[in-house]
Amino acid sequence: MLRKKKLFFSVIALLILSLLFLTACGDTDDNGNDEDQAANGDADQDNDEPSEDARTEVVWGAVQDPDTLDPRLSTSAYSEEVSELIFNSLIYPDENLEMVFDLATDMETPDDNTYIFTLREDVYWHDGEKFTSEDVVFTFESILDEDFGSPHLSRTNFDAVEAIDEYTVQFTTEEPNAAAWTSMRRFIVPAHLAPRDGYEPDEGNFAFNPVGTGPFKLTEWTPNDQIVLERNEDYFEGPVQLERIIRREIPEEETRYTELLNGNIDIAATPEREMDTVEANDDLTLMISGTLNYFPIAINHGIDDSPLNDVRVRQALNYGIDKEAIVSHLWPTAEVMHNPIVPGTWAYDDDATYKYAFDQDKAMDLLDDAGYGDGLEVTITMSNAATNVELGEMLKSYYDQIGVTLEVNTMEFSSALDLILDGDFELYHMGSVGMYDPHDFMSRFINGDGVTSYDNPEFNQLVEDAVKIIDDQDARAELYSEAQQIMTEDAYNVPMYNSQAWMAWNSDFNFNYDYVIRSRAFKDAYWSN
Amino acid sequence: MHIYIIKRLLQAIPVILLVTVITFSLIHLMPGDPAIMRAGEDATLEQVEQIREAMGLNEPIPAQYLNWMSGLVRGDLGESLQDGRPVFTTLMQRLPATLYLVLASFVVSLAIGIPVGILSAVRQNTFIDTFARGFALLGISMPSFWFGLMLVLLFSYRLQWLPASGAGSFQQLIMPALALGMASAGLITRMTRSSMLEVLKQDYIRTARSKGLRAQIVIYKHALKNAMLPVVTVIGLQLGYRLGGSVIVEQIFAYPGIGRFAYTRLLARDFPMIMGNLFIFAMIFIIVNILTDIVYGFLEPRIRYD
Repeated sequence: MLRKKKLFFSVIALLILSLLFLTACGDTDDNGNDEDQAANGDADQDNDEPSEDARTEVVWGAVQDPDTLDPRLSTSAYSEEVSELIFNSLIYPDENLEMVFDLATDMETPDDNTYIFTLREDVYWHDGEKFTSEDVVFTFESILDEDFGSPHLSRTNFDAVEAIDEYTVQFTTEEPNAAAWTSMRRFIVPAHLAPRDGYEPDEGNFAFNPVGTGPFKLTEWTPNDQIVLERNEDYFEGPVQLERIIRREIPEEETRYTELLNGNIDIAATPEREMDTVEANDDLTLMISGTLNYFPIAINHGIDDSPLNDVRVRQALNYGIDKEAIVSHLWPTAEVMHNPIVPGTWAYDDDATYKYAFDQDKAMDLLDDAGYGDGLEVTITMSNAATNVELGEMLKSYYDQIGVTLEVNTMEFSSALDLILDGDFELYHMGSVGMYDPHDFMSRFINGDGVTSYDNPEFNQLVEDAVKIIDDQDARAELYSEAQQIMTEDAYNVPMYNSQAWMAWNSDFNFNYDYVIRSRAFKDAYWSN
Repeated sequence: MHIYIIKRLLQAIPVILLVTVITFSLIHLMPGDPAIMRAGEDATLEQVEQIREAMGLNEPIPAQYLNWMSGLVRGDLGESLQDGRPVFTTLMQRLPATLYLVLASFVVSLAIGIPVGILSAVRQNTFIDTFARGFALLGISMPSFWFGLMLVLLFSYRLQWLPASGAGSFQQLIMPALALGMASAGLITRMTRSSMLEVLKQDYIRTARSKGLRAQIVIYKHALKNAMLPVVTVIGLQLGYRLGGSVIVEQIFAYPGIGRFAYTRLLARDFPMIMGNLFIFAMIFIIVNILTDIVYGFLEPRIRYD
């Protein structure tokens, strides 16, 4: 009797406690009153000029801290999105991937190997010093210097830089290189302040006290907390409208989203699964942008006697999975991709691309032909991001159905990257980001130099020829078409998807989000009230 | 007493030495290094090698350790490999926020744990007791990241009473402190309860009662003080767990403390920063343990320090 009573009370106690939490999880009424409010791509169409007492400060909820603000030493997107506000470059790509002048006013190419930039003469560093060609040469010389250790070095497509006079700089390439411009878009640092030795601790200070020429100055950086940027009153294009940007690091996306809804921050990337709710919310403007990111399941071509060296096996791996199903489930905003060139960019050729449909019978036939009819074991290496773990499960079950046993090896990002760069993998899944020129991604698959060791003589030749064509984009595109056909038919890897990026902000804030322009858009941003 | 403290501090030296050797080896044994993180996902091997060379990572690990140790002896924890900042200064910027949070979480767990524990013991086998034990079990079992997110959902998202992130104001401290304090609130409830039950059975309590003392005096003056000893041990040990737990809680609430910082620098493989961080955590742990031992003396005069 007593025991029964105790049980009864325990149950009651537990019920009361769980009620406490259920009220938290319970659904309140959706404010999605289906007004079918399209993603406001036209944020600046309804722009009444800013009123007198409009806000001039914006609080930006960011995912992660920059690793360093010495732009020569970082390839992190989180560093770049801050550097874009502090620094300028000679040129940068606009949303159509066309080159726009920034610190330069003109570029001449007297021959196929020479690029001569004329610099602006009205630019000053945040400390009042004048910007000259010396700064440009200093920046690129340190990047080109092996001992400096810049990650941009292997992505540099020119060989020398020199100053012709105070406001003229010349870049030269040994071979004609149509992709040279992509490496001339690096941010310029001041020769009189930035260290010449990347890891000299005494001089390391520049990395967190950066001085640039950009529209904003860094006034405070508390690591993993916030970065405060104040308007540069002497900006060469005239002071911008925003007086201050506070960039707060909020790593947890639910927390960030909550803060955005509560108005504690004004702009942030929202969780992917909340996209519809954000779109339906009148107080927020959401903008989605295509990216230049490519996420494949890469295949290692450099292992001796590996079954992966057989094109039939690689094709089977492509036929064996339902890419549409996987991508739409795991990355709802992303698009399935069939080769590394992003669809919509000039070099992409849909007709030349061989697209592997989901066809497991064909996959099994191919494996049979290759002599792996009774099974095959393959390992995939990737980071342990939640979506990757799920991806592993899905791939495993698809491949099981065609007799391929997939071992999924997930680990923390840095460890995975270590293995991948060492070539110690069979398959891997990781992204390549920010590829502005087709050569950026095609060159990763030539001569066995890339991480995947892919080496196909015919393909190598095409890519190497294409990059030498300086003035004729159509001729270049033709070679890339052929290259796309070869690489896809050869099943060089298992292409997966091209991701999308997005940002949501307070509807009173006039902003334009584009993946390529990114935080440069803060230059023209302002509050309506 | 002074001699005891000095002795304990001296004993701590080999412990610290061992901790540094183990952590240093572990950090360098795990795959991945700052050069790889800097080079990015499509770097070439040569590129990584160049960066490693420039960062001084190609020296043998024992040499790197001795290098680090000789810095430590001079009171220099080195500079970050990621941004060149001095390790000690950077860590000291962030430690106070975490200590503040840990302190607040102790207030939460003691303010909840001790009264509930006492009540539960005094009202053994009643509805209150069942409820308290259920609460304690829930507190211990709930992962802090889940509880933290639930707090955000309720107080920030639904009710909009509290800001979900940041630090500086009292409002911003409430949820992180609750999330961090809940697990030990449960533990302390249970410890207090069982220890109180133990003490309440003792002869001197019966004597006190039979003298006709008021129940409150018996419970708070006679029983509680004696029941506190195991609880103090738990509190001391909990501090270590708190520093660990602060990593997750600080991540959820974007709280700018040392835990989240340690976590991000671990992912970035910023070796000097990780070492500095672990060293400071180890020091705190050792000091708290010594303090706990000293507190024993006040609670239990029979304990001798010699």
